[in-house]
Amino acid sequence: MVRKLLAIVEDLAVILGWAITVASIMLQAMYKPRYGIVVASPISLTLLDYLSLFGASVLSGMILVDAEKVMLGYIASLFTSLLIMFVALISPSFLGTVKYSSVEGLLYGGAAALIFQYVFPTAIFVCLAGGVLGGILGEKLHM
Amino acid sequence: MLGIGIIVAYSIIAIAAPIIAPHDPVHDFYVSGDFSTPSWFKYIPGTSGVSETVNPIKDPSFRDSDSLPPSDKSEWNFTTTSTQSSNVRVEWTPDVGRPGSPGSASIAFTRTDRLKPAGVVNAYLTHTFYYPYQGPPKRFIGNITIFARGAENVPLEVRVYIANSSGFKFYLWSSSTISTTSTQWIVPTSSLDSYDSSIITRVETLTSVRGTDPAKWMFSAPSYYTYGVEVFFKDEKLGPLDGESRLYIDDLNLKLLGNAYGILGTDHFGRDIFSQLIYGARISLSVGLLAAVIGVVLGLLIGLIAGYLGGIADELTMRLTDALLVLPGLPLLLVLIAVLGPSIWNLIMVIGFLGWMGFARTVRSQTLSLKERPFVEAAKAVGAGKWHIILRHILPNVMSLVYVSLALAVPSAILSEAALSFLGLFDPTVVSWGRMLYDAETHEGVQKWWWLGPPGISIALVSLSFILIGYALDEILNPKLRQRR
Repeated sequence: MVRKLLAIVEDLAVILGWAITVASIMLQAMYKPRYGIVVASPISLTLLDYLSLFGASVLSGMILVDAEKVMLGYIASLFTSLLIMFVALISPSFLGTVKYSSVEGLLYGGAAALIFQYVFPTAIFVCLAGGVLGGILGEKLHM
Repeated sequence: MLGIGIIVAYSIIAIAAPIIAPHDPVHDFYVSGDFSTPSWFKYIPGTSGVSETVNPIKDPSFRDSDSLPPSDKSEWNFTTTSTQSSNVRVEWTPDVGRPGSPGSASIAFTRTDRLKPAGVVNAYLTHTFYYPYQGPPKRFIGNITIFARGAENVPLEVRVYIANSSGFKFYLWSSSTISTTSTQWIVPTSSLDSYDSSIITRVETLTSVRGTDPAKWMFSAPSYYTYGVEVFFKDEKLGPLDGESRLYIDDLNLKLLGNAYGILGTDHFGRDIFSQLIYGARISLSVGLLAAVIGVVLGLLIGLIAGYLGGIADELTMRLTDALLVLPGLPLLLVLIAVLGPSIWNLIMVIGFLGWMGFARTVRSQTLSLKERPFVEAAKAVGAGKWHIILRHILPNVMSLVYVSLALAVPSAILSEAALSFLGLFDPTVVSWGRMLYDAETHEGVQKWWWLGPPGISIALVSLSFILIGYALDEILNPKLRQRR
C-alpha cells in the first residue's frame, strides 16, 4: 500500500517537475528583453529553449516509462505549466500593483494571448515528442 | 509515373531556383515597368507598342577618368558657354564620392581674370542615346546626387533634363540656387520619376491634357534622346575671386522601364513573375511536405497510443480529436495564423497541427484491431513493454497507411497554404504560389492570365500529382485493391 502510494507520489512529483521546467523555460523566454523590429513572429523562443524543453520532456518520459503514464503525464504537465505561466504573468494583479480593473482585464487577456503564442503549437509538439522518446528510451534502459 | 514526373520536375525547379530565377522574387523591385506583359508578346501578330527595359547609362558612378571627356571611352559629352573670361572644366575626382562610390564627376568654375565677373556661365554634361522601341517605356526613373564646394564664391544652380532629337528639353529637376559649401550629398527632394506627381502635373500643364503619361509623351517614338545635367555658375559678384566653385556629381542614372519583360512579365511592383513562380515552388512544396509530415507523424503517434493503451488516454486523445474535427478548418487556420503571426514556420506548424485528426482515427482503428492479434498477445506474454509492442509490432503494420496518407496530405497542406496566402496571411519575406494569386487578385491582375495562370496551374498540377501517387500507393499497399498481374 505504502509502496503504491510512494509510486504515485513519485509520478506526481515527476509530472510537477516537468510542468515547472516547461513553465520556467517559457517564462524566461517571455521576460527576455527583445531588440529590433519583430516582423513575422511575436515569440522569442530560441533553439536552446526548444532543446531545453525537449531535454526536460525526454528526462520526464524516461522516469515515467509507462506509455499510459507518459501520455497522461504529458497532458497533466502541459495544463499545469499553462496554469503556472498564467499565475506568474498575472501576478501584478494579485500583488496589488495594478490599481484599475480595466488594466487588470488587459493583463489577463494579454497573459492568455502571450501563453498561447508561446506554447502553440511548436512547444506542444516538442514536449510530446520528447516525452514519447523518453518513454521509449526508459523502457529500453529498464529492460 | 505522371505524378512522379511532375513532382520531380517541380522539385528540380525548387532546388535550382537560385540558378534558374533571374531575380530575387521579393526584393528586386522594378526590373521592368509595373504590370509588364511577357516579352514574347511581341511575336504575337497584331501586337504593337511593346518596349523593354533600357538602361542607357552604363556607369552612373563614374568609375575612372575614362568615364568622362576628353576620354574616347566616355559616354558623356561636356559643353559650356564659357568665354575667355572664365574657365569651366569637367574632371573625374577619385577622392570625392558617395559612400561606396569610386569617385565622382566634378564641374569646376574659375575666373580667368580674377577681377572681372564672367556673368552666368552654363555647363552641360550630357549623354545621348538611342531609344529603339516603337512603344513608349512604362516609366522612367532618373537619379542624381550632388555636392557643392566653393559655392559661396560663385553660387550655382543645377538642373536635370531629358531632351528629344528636335532639341526640346524637359526639366526633371531644378535645384534652388546653392550659395554655400554643402555639408552632405544632396539628393533631389522630388524623384526624377515619370510617376512623380510634380512631373505629371508639369507634363499635363505643357500638353493641356489631363492624365498624360510623361514616359509616353517624352519617348513617343524610336529616336535619339539626351539625358543631361545643366549647371549655371552665377558669377555676378563684383570684386576679386581667387577660389573656384565646384559641383560634384555622382549616381547620375536613367532607367527606362519597359512594358514587357521576361517569360511571364512583372507584377505591380515591377518584380519578375517568372522568378516568383520558381521560388514559389520552393515555398509551396516545403510547406506542403513539412506540414504533411508533421500532421502524419502526430496522427500516427496519437492514433497508436490511443488505440493501444485504451482507457483514459484513449478517451482524452479521442475527445480532443473530435473537438478539433468539428471545428471548421479554414476559419480556425485564419484565427491561429492571425494570432501567431504569418511566418513561414508558423504556417507549417499550424497546418500540420490541424491535419492529424483524420489520420489519428484511422490509425487508432487499425491499432485496435492489431492489438488483439496473436503476435501482439505473444509479445505481451514474453514480457515485452508497451513501447516495444507499439514500435516493433504495431507500427510496421500501419506503415502502409502512413505512405498513402502522407501522399494525400501534401496537396491538402499546399492548398491550405495557398488559401491562407490568398486571403492575405502570408509571410512577407517569401513568395509562394498562394501569395502570387493574392497579389494578382488585389492588383487587378485577374484579367492578366500570364500572372494568374502559372501559380494556379502549378498548385493544381502538384496537388494532382501527389493525389495520383497516393492512389498508386494505395493500389500497391492495400491488398483489397491490389491487382493480379
